[in-house]
Amino acid sequence: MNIPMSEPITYLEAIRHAQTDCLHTDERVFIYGEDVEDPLGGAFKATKGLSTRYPERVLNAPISEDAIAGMAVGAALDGMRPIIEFQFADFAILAFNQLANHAGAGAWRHGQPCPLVARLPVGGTPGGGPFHSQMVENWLTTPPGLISVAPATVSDAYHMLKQAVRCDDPVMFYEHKALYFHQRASLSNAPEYPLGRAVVRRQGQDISLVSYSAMVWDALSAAEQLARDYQIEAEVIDLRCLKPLDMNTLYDSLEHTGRLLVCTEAWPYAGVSAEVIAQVSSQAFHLLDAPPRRLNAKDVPVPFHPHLWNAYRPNTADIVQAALDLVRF
Amino acid sequence: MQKIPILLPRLGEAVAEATVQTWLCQSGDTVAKDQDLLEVETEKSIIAIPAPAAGVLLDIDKPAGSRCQVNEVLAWLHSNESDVVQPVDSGSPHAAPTPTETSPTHTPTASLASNSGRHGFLSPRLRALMQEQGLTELDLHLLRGSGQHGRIKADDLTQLLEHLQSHYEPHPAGMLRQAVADSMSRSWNRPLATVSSAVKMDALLAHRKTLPERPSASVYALSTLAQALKEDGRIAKLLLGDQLWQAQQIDLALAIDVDNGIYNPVIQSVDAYSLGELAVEVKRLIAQAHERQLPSNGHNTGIATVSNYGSLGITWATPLPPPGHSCLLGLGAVRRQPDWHPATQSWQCIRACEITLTFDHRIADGGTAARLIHRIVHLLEHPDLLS
Amino acid sequence: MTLMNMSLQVRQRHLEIMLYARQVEQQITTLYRQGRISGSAYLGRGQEAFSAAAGVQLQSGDILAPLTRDCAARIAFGESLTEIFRTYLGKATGIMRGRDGNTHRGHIRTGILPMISHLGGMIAPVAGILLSRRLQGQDKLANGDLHIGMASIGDGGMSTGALHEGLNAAAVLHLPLVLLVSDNHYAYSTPSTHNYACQHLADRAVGYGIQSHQCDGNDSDACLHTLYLAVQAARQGQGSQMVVASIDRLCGHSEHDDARYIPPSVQETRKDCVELRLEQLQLSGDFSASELSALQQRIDNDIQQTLQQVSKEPEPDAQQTQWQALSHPEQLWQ
Repeated sequence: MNIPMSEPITYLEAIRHAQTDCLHTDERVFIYGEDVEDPLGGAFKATKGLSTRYPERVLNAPISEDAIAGMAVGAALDGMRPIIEFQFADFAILAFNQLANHAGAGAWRHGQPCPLVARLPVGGTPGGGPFHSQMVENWLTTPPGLISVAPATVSDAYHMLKQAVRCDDPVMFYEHKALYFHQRASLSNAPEYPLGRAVVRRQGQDISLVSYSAMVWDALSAAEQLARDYQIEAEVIDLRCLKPLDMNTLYDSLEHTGRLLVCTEAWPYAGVSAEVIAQVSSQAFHLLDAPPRRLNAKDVPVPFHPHLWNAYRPNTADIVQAALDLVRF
Repeated sequence: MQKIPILLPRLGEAVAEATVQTWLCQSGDTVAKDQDLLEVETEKSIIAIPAPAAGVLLDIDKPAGSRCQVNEVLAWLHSNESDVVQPVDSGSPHAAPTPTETSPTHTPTASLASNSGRHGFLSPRLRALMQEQGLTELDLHLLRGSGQHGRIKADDLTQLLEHLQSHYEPHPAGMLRQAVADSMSRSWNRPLATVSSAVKMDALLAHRKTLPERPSASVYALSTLAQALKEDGRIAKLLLGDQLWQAQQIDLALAIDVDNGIYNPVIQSVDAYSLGELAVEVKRLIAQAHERQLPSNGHNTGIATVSNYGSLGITWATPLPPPGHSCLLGLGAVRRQPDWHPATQSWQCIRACEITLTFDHRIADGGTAARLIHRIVHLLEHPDLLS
Repeated sequence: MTLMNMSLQVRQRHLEIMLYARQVEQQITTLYRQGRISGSAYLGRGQEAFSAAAGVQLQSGDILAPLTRDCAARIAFGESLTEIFRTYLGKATGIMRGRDGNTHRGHIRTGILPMISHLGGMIAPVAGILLSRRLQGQDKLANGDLHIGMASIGDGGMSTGALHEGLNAAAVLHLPLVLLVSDNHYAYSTPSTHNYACQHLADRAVGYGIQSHQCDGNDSDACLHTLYLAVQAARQGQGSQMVVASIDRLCGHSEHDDARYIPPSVQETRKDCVELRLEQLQLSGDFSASELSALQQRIDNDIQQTLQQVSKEPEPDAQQTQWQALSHPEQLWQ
């Protein structure tokens, strides 16, 4: 396709380009979701123009999340590569049964892989409120058989979505709404990593800041502040793949830092950050010189008012303070 | 013919027991394979249990109304069929091995022993580093922690090791040095106190010349300590938990200074030796110590120690009794000194020394120690009293 | 084909499948009560006529998403006795390899989807397969008719949101999905009056914009006839179809349920579709008593032989099992 590789594009455009590529190169790919057809082309315009170009393979769905996921399950089992769009990830809980018990459980139960990709617009923006802001990775990383990926960069959004479509197992693809328009970069020279790899975004030897999705950018800005104001060099790790976890990249980092801070926008209970810390504590306890710590959203529904929203989600200042506590511990 | 048990199968996922409702046949009846034998009632329903094979029903172990557990025998069947169906063993649903987490490239090496409060929290990383370097918590005394409340960070130790690399040269400490260090460190973990007294040595030195073995001061010290403890053994105890264990045998150690360390060979039942025999034994042990040929003490490390630091020219010292010894008798160097002689109202030159008794204050108090040292002084000044 | 000219061959095959299902399930009950089956056993006793009539309409390449009481439809669509026993006995050799059991058996390549327990959750996947076939241009039989997808549900499952979503989505796309609704009047212990308030479940089809059909599930000829019409309509591009049969469940919800909650007055009025059919065929002179008895004996021999063979097969070994839920984990690192 004629994707402008050298021109800076947004995270959202990268997702659209990836889908265009997939539709173009693989006839098994089709897109199914609410409002995905033109003229709207998706609530966030992630599929804008695609139904015009591929009318038979970009299909509007009823407001039926269970059916959207269930249809994708059937089609994937039958050899297609469906990409389903949940308008907001918050509504994917209605499809949890299909995702967990069909898509995830299938390969183990009956041996047939279910290569669907579920695009899940996650995360809050001020004013989004309780039902258009949720991070859903804690639910969808629990059932076995589902891969979960959460790109933080434009290049990852592009490459990881294409890799997810090529992947034979079902992939939950979390795209952060705050990144849709604010992240802008060119795809040229952007490296393509394996789907399951975690990536070191900034090197440092004093503390490992582990994050994913939009929170990676908060971690990076915290790292700059720590270096500028406190001469503390933080290593920032972008997990990218939330299940399975690339723990070896983490252990390599902890080998020289000895300190772990995991930052997520998700609720704290039994989530990705808890899993990272559980694995580090049981497998790499000897590397820790301070208690492993995490920063999560508060354990309340996502608040509507921007004042509350800003306090709800960990921010750069919170990360700086927690990192200082750990380095000084 | 074989006797087959009729077992209560698991009749539902959560069902653990059932009650026998009705027997549909009686003991002695001939039954066909798959014929219903009885009805049982579970929490969920009433279910008929068929015969596992054709045969004759023998004893009914569970009459109507009995409660029984899954896999319990309900009755016995006499059968000559070889094709007998038996329930699947669904008793242990968790028999499968637990999947392990993905193996990391890093193998944990640190022992996760309890953290001592002395240096603050010892992090897993610090402990792993200590283990890698062969360090103990005692070695951390060299450090001042830079963490909160003086906690020693792994970085603090790394920096110390870097400093040592550039300013010192390492040599292996050797087994003996490490053993002494370990013993002394463990000994230091208890409250020790010292009492001392002067001893006039002229009588002893004269007595010595009368014996062909020429016993050394150490021999006299061992002998007097043995006799004093035999007379009053209250200090010869071990404190373990809430029990005091009284020693039943006077086994004493003698501290022997060798190059780069100290040996503490044990002489068992010292009170049974004459001075001459003891002199021979001590001479033999000293020779063996210098040749590093001493046999191991095994578990018997004795109850008290004698240290003749005076032989090194030291007049007064408080050596540590080894762990498990409730006291240590030390002999200082003999010196000539003036002594007021009341009978002649004049100063006389005598030979005298200081002796010290360092003791475990948990086991004995100053009074006990004072009485013991006075008795030792008396015996040393009157060697004729020694057997 | 109509009721009048329905061939004796079809009726014979239908009978044979009913008897297979009845006798296999009888054996399963015995195995369960002998403690040889872990978990529970779910039977379709009383529903064979409708289920078998649905199954005989299927052709190679069609899709079947059966529910618990569709042993007959499965057998009609080619499921072997071997696979039935392997799954019930949890054998490693079976299609489910001991990882799933009893009625949760099937595989996409056989055209039978392995059901999940969440009622209504099978409808959308069947629709998805039909959509996939359409997108791939593989949705037609040699004669130009469409491949169909058959999904089964009961009066209880008709109340789930998933059913509504799946059926509506299929209807919107005009997919050849045939929804079999076995209304046996009890959802486990809950009578239909607590499950729906409409006059008849078939009335709901209007709301989805699909065609509906009804029949007496105890009447084999009515089942064969009605399902023939519904399936033909789907094959000829008339979109999704709903077929509602009124049925008597002659067993508990499962074998750990003795269905005491069904009042004796109701129990007395229940009919056995298999008994009815046997009487009917003997009266009509299509079968003699001795032919029927020979058929039953042949089926029983087949069952006993298969069971004996399957019993010897190995069970899964936990040590040898790959404890990996992904099919291709290596792809994550390439």
